[in-house]
Amino acid sequence: MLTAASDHTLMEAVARGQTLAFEQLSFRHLRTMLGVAHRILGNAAEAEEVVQEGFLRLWRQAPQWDPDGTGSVKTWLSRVITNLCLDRCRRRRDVPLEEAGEVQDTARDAFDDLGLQDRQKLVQSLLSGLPERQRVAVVLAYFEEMSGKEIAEAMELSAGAVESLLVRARRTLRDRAETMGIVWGENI
Amino acid sequence: MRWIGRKLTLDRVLQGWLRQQAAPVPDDAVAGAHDRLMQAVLHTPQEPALVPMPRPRRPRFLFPEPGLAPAAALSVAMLVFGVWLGPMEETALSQGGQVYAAAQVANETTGVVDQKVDQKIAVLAMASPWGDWIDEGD
Repeated sequence: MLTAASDHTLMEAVARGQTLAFEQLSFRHLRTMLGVAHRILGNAAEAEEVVQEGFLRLWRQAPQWDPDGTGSVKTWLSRVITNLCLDRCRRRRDVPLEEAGEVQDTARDAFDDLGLQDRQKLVQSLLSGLPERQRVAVVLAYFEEMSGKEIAEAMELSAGAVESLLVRARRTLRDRAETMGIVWGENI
Repeated sequence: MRWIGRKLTLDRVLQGWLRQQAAPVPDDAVAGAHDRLMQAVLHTPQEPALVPMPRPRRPRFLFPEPGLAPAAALSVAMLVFGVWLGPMEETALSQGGQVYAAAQVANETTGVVDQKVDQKIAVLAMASPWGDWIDEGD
């Protein structure tokens, strides 16, 4: 019965302190939020900490949940978790690229020979090179396929500002890809 | 239009490429995180629901400061007393069924009465104990 319930219905039950409803709700969004946090932070352990903090906030503040004023559960979680991620990024600005140092030496013609893990590191490296807010916009738009309106709500920006972030992010990604030996149009 | 089309194409290509390369979150990582989250929830109390603030009760006295009430009452009493006392004073200045204002009587006592303006006051002034003095013209 709970699996078919909408997020708002589950939130009403969570507001009454029902842990089963929270279990269902968290299971529904946990993978997505872990992915968002991991791609922004580049670190699985930190991502889980941030996501756990976000979900615990949802649990604590559920009795005050306003379905009309707060928006969807997914947007609320995205906003809280991306803000927590940005806080973490600001605290450790001196370590921008954490795991992808080796992949930067990849030869142009060797890109296709890279294994899956190396490619994943490469993507993470590209993302890590973006400024924080651009990275958040790219993660929400490209990986989570959120609409411009949802991203704007999650990042507390206007739709125009989100589009501007995405334009700059694409340019930065392309430039960084070229410096890493990836040819736009051939490899991508 | 061609530029927009090219931009959209590049956008989709980049999006597809990133999604293709990105590492998915492993199932065991999700399951482990979920277990730990539920353990944490069991030890986390919820915040109480927001209760709308009750409207402040109106004070029993009419004035914001209780000390002002006696002063206001005194002011009202003086106003009422003045309204009541005013006609009595006017009545004392009446004579022969005519009521005269205090200013008119004052003029009368100093003898400065414009006889053309008010003959009755002039007559009254002449009939007063000061009539002779007024009549002398000084």
